[in-house]
Amino acid sequence: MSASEVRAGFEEFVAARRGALLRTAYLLTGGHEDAEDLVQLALVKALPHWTRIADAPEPYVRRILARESVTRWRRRRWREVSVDRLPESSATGEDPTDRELLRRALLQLSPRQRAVVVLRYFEDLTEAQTADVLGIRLGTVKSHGREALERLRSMLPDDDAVQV
Amino acid sequence: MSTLHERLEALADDAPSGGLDPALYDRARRYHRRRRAGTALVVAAAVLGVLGIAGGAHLQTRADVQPAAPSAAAAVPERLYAPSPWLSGTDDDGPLGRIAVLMTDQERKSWISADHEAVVGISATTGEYRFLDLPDDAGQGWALSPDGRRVAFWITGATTGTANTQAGQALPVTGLAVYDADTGGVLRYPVETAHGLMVDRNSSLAWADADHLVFSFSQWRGGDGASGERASMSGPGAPLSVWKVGAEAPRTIDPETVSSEVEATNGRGEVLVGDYAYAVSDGSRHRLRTPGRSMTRSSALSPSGGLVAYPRGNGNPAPIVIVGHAGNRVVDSSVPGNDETFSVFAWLDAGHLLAEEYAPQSRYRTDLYRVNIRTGVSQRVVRLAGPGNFRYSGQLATDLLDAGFVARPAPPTPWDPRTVAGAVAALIAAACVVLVLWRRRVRL
Repeated sequence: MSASEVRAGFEEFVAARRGALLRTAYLLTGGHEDAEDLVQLALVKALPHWTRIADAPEPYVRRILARESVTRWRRRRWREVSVDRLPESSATGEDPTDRELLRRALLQLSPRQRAVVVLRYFEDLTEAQTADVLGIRLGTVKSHGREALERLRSMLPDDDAVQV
Repeated sequence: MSTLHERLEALADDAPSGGLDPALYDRARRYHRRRRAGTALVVAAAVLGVLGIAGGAHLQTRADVQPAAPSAAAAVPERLYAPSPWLSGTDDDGPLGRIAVLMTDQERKSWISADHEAVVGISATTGEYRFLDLPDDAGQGWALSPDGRRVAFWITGATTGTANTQAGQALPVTGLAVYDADTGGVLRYPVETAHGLMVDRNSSLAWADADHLVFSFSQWRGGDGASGERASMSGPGAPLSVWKVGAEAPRTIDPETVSSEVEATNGRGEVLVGDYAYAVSDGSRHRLRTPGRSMTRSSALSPSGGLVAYPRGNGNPAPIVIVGHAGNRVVDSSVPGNDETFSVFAWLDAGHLLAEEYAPQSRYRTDLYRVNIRTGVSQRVVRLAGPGNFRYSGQLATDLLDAGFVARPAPPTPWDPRTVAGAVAALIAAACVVLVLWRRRVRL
């Protein structure tokens, strides 16, 4: 595969799938800029391997996306603060929407718990697939998933109880 | 009530919109180029560092000693250095060849065994230092032959009863052996013993000449754990014996002289035991009274066997005296000056001795001096490594003293390989840390 073919294939993939990747990245990071940075990082890291993954690049890029959200972004974003429930109102004094409440609740999870929730309940991966993507053991996925759901249930209002 | 999947879908709708990023491909290429360049730089620096350490360590293991020409003259070095405990041994580098100086009680270190005392030989032709790997060495005494071609030593092995290890401090002695410095071969003479042989480290083994080894020992009365004082008492002793190297068995020199110290030898077939000089060829002896001789390994027997030179008195050091007889004349004279002599090593010729005395303006280091027995004028001929007395830790090939003393290169001082390995590991670890940190910091 020539350099021009790599470039064409890469740019075609970015144009087609960047939006979908940003949706996942937004759930993983909880912020617009962070989501864009995470997607850019995943795409950049995938580029040297493009000739090998050119036929089906998305699983590989999503694997980088998930793992980087845990490793690289853990140091920047996650400062775990134990709270029983989310604040009743936003900083501006307006009532938060359901989306905002869920976003804040996700941000209270550890990066790995958040990644498990996103992969299991947004990407609809099985526990085994989630373990494979994150490079962790199946038991770890189960325990993180169980703990994450418990925390989400405790942090979200009763009428927003989490149904899976 | 919606499911978590539906609510995540809804939240994902808040994600920024995707679009074209035409510069992304070029940024990605630059990013990877920077990472590769940085990685190569760190790896290159680490490799250079490792090569530097390894090269330095290698250079430290080499001396400036060049292979001796076949005709290189054998001689005693005019300066002796303290050998490094990390020097190589004859098992690694082969036999040393003719030995000018034997240095005993030297510390030897290795990766796999505990630090222990060992014997270093100094080549007579190149000045190279090397540990002698003497098989089954009991560590209880060594003797360098006058020609420097053989080293005799006590060997350890199995005893017929409980071995006496002096409370685990020593190996049981079960015989003696002779190491050939040219070939590395070893001739053994085992002695049957119940608990091991009791030998004196400094005076149980001596070469009468290049082929005849004189020795003396007694048997331990008990082994480890023996009741009472048996474990610390000597039993029956063996008479003073001589072994012509290669002969089937030693023969007795004097059946009445048992467990005796061999205090001096002239390298020409005569040894000094007590107040007698014995000729090992036929066992004949003549009396040599040496009043005031109080230190072992401090006397020198003249080539004729008629005179003994030694420091007289209980003082340490002491002035040199010469006693005996020259023809029909009785000799009992003092060497002028030289009041601080520890030991007389040998007769250099009829008018000069080789003696160990304090170095000038020093009370802790000694050197070897050529001493004129009539005028007392002394001249340093061998600078010793010091501190400590050479007479207990060094032996010279006395046949080489006629050739004078020559300059030889200093031995190598290898670095502790454990330190080298640690430095290399630390360097590699540091490079890895730098690499990881740098790769994390590199920006798109």
